[in-house]
Amino acid sequence: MKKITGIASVLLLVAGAAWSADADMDTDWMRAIEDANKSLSSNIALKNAKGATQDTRELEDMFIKVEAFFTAKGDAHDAVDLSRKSLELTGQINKSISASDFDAATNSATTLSRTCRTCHTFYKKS
Amino acid sequence: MTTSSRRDFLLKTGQGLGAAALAGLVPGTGLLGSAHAADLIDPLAPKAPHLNAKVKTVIWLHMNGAPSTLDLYDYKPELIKLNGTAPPASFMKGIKTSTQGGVGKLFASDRTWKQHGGSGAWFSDLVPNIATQADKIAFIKSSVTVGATHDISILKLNTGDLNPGRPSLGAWVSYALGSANPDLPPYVVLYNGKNEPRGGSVNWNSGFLPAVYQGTAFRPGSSPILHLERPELRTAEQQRTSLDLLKRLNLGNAARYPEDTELRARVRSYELADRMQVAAPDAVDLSKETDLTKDMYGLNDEGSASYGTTLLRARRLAERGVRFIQVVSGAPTEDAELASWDAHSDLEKNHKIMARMVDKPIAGLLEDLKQRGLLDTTLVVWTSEFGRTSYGESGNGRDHNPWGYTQWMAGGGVKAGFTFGETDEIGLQVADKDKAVDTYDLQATVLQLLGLDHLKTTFLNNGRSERPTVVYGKVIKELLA
Repeated sequence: MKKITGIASVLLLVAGAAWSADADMDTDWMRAIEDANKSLSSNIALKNAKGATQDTRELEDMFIKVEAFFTAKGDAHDAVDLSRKSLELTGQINKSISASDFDAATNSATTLSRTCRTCHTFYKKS
Repeated sequence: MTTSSRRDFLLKTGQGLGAAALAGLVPGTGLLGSAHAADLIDPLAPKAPHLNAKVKTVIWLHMNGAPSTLDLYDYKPELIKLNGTAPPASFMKGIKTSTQGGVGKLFASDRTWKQHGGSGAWFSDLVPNIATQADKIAFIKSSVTVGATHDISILKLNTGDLNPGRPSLGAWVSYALGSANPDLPPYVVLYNGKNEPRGGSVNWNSGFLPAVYQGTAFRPGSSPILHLERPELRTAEQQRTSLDLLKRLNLGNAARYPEDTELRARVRSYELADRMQVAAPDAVDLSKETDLTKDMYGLNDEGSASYGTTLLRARRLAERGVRFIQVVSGAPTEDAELASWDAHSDLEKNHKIMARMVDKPIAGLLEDLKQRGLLDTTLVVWTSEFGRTSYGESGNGRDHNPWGYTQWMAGGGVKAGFTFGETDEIGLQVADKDKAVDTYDLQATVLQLLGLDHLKTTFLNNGRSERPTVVYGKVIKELLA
């Protein structure tokens, strides 16, 4: 009986941890990404290369974590692919900023925002 | 800060905030807002667009309450075939229905369908008059949005956000293009029925833009703006003399304090109010319109007269250079039971009444604009906060559907007779998510037709560069001629 209770407790803890990770992904992570994305959009519009580069670095770190999260979660290919696409787009934005091509950076940043929205749609499904 | 300047500061900010709040809350008082938005010398001076503008005016027809476009434009034979059965699981993938009242059986209403015009676009028997305009229309049959309550989704449709605080599309247009007629506001909101539109002034607010750019709500009736008329006890001459004195005093002070833009804005505002006493009632006075024109807008039918009057006023405002005319559909008559398209039950009754209200007036508007040579410079947008589900609710109604619905555009620069995107076979979700058109995309496309690049229409708010489409938006180039 003690053994069964112990296993149940471990399962509850694991389930709790998984739920907590999901909750974190839903709120803090996504809000941080949204904030960084809005800041990036503004900095590109203001042609603030230093600020925009700082934003892309933050976003790159976060997208790497998002990809790792969905890879570990399993059965979320769409989310993994979209995280990778977001990472690629962030790289493109960096290159455009380095070349002072802010129009190209704006277009890539808008595509990045749309990718985030698409991911949210899929994430609701999975 | 000296005592004097602090007093000035408090006076100015108090008046400015009070006026902005009053102007925002009470329909027809937008003018007061402009009286105190004095951070620029003439914030409404005409400004050049970024691109070659295709249109000068937008008439934004908001179908309040969300019509079922499945029963107007989106013909789905498969839905008729599956009527009364549970929606197949494949169609439901990805849909969260917990807050939308659950999923009923698929529901096909009692409609007849016919193709119209050279484009062969489908229209139901609810909109026989709009159907005659088929070849002027470009459909967007893959519209999506965030599905929430009506108020929240209407806010997103108009401002791009789910929370109040961002400027409405019309405010961005006023800010970016200024006014084309110094005697009228550049952004006017019209509605029919006795009540102010659902959600209220946040849907025509200027948000973080100066208050001068907010929409001015014109009330139905002969006196469109509250407190605009000269009091009966005062003659026109007395008013003119008093305004002249006020102007002399204010200009004298303005010369002494050249840095005080508030004074110049105040003079401008008093003068605008004086001119508007004539211009605004004239703009909405239909007495010089012919009976033929009035009939064209359905003024000869009790069921469509109030909305027809509103659209005829919209045309008169477009003729007078108003940039953005936001028309919110209301109740067909003052004592009507129904004031919106929100048919959670008895869709047949609701949509027959509401379609009758808008069908002839909208067809009349398109035809009238065409006949007057105005359609090439005007953009008419038929829009709603979301659509309605292909599964039923309450037996004979439909629930909210943000996953796939129809909107349309007609006018200058639009690829007439074209359809962009489609919904799945039962009309529940967009068929191809890459073709989904969100509210941001619709706004970006409207701005493009006005000659504005949505990515370059920016305003610095608290150190952050903001734009109408937030961080999203894609011009749907396929819709452009």
